[in-house]
Amino acid sequence: MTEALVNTYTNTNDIQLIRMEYVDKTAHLSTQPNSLNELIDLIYQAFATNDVDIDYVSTIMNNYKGNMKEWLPYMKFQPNKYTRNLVNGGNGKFNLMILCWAEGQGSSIHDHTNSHCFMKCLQGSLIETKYAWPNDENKEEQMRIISRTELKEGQVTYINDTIGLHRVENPSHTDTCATLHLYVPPYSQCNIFDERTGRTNEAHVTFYSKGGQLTKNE
Amino acid sequence: MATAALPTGDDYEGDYDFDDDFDDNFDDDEEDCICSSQTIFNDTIDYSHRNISKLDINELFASTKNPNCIKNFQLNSNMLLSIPSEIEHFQSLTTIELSNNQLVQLPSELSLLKNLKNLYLKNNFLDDLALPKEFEQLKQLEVINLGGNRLKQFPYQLFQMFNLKEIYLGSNQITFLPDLFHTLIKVEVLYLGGNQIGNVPDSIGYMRSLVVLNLSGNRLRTLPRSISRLTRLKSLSLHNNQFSALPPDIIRLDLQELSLRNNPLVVRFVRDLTYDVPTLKELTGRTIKFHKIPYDDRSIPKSLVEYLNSAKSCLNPKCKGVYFESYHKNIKFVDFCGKFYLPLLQFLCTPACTSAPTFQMTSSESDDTENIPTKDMTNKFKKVLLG
Repeated sequence: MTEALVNTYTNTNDIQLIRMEYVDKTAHLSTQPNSLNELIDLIYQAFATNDVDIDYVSTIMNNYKGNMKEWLPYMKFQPNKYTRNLVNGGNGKFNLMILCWAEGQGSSIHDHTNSHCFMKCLQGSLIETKYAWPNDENKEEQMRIISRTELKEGQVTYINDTIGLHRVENPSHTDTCATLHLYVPPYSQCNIFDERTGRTNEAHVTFYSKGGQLTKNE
Repeated sequence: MATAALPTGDDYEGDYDFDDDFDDNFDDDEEDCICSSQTIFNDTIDYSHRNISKLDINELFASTKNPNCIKNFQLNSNMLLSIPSEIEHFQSLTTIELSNNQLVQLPSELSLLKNLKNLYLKNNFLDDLALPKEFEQLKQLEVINLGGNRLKQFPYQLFQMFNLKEIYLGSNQITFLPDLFHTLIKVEVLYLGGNQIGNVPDSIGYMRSLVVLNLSGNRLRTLPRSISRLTRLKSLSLHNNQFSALPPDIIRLDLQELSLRNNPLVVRFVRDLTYDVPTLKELTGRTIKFHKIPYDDRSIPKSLVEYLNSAKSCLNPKCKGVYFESYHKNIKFVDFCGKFYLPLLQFLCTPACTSAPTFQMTSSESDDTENIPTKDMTNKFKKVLLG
C-alpha cells in the first residue's frame, strides 16, 4: 500500500512540494484538480505573478469534476433572481463564485470590465448568447447576436471584452442550473445593455453570499 | 433499510437543510413517535436514485417501526409508474418527493394525507386525468410542483387548495387559464413558464400575496389591467412571448425584476394602428360626459345610463376626454426606470390625442385619469433589473 502511494507521488506532479516552493510556471502544476480546494490552490499558484496563463486556467476549469457535496454551501436558489455566491476572493487577484439559476432565470447582456471570465456548468444546462458591441453609441439599433450556444454539465466557456458581450440564461422551466465562475481580476461594476437599442447603463454587482454566509445586500 | 443519501442537483428545490438527513437509527420501543425525546431521529425514508420501478409497500412498512414517524418521503429519480395507495398510512407525511419518475397516475388516497405540505411531482408523465378529483381535499398543501408533465389544463383542484403558497407548472402544454384565481390569495410564487398560454384572466389581480409571477415562454400579447393590483409583486418574467407593447399598468407595480427579452417589442414609433370611427351614440356619450351634463334613469333609459357609466378615460393625462367602444391605440415610449425606453400601449380617445389633448378642461375638478409615469414614479424603478 505504501509503495503504491510512493509511486503515485513520484509519477504525478507533487502539489505539496510545489506549493512550498511557490513556483510560478504552470508547466509544473497539476492539471487535474480533484477537489474545489485543490482548484483554488492551483489558481493561486497560476496567479502568483501578474501573468495569466489562459490555457492553463481553461484546462484546470475543464478538468475539475467536483461533486454536489463541495458545492452545497454555495447552492442558494431564489425564486425571483439568480444568485452570486462567492467561494474565494483570491486575495484580490481573482474571484471564484457559484451562480445559482432557478427555472427560467437569466442575466442581462453585460460586459466584463476588462476581466477574463471563465464559466463552467456544474449542474443543469445554460444558454450563452454572445453579442457584438454596439456600433455607434449615439445611434439606437438592435444588438447583433454573434453566437448562441448551450453549455452542458462539465463544459467551460471563456469570454472577455475583446470577444464581445453576453447574456446567460437557464432555459429550463423545470430544472435549476448552477455555474462556476472565475473572474481575473475581480470586478464590482459592469455595463448592462438593452438588446433592442444598444443603450447601456452601469450596474453594480453584488454577492448573495460569501463563503456560504448570506450577505446583507443593498 | 433506507439510508439517508445526499441530494443531487436535480431534486434541489432551494436551500437544503442538512439537518433533515440522518441515517436510520432506531432504538426506541414506543408505539407513538415522540421524536423530540431522541437526539437523533429518523423521519425520512430515502429511496431516491435507485432505479426502482415499483414501490414495495411491505418493504416500506418494514423500514420503519411506526409509519406515523415518517414525515418525508424522498422517492425522486427512479422509474416509478405509480405509487401504492397504502401510502395513506403514513399520516405524518409533510413532504413527498416524486420528481423525475414515470408516473402516469396518482392514487386518490394521497388526498387523505392531512399533513401534506409539499408535493413534488415534476418531470413525470401526468396528464389532466392523472390528478384525482379528491386532491382538492389537500387543503393544507403549500407547495406543489407539477412542472415537466403533460398537463393541457390548469388543474382545477388547485383552486380549492386555499393554503397554497407556491405553484410550479412550468413546461406543460397549458393553453388556457380559467378565470378562477380569486381563491389563491396566499400564493406567493406562480410559475407558468414554458406553456402555450394565450391569455391571462382578470382574476389574477386577486392574488394579493403574489411576489413572483413567471409567464415566460408562452404566447401572450397582453396582460389584464388587474395586474396593477398585485402590490406585492416583485418579479415579473415576460420573456419569450408575443408582447409588442406593454400595458401602462405595469408602471404602477413595485417591481425589482422585469424580464422582457425575446418579445417583438416595438422599437420605433408605430403609426399604423387602426381607428374605428365612433358611432353617433358614442359621440353623444362623449359630449355628455365631457360637459358633465347630469343624467339619471328617470330622464333617459336605464341601458343608456349604464352605457354612459361605462365611459373610460383617455390616457393622455392632459386630456379630459373619454371613450366607449371606439378608441385609438397608441404606443408611447416611456423612459422606464431612467434606463430603457419601453413601448407602452395607450388607449386614447382620438388619433389626434397623441400629445396635445383633444379635450381641454379649464375646470379645477380632476377626474381619475390614468397617468403616464411622472419623474417620481420612474425614480422608484431605478433598481429594476431589465433584460
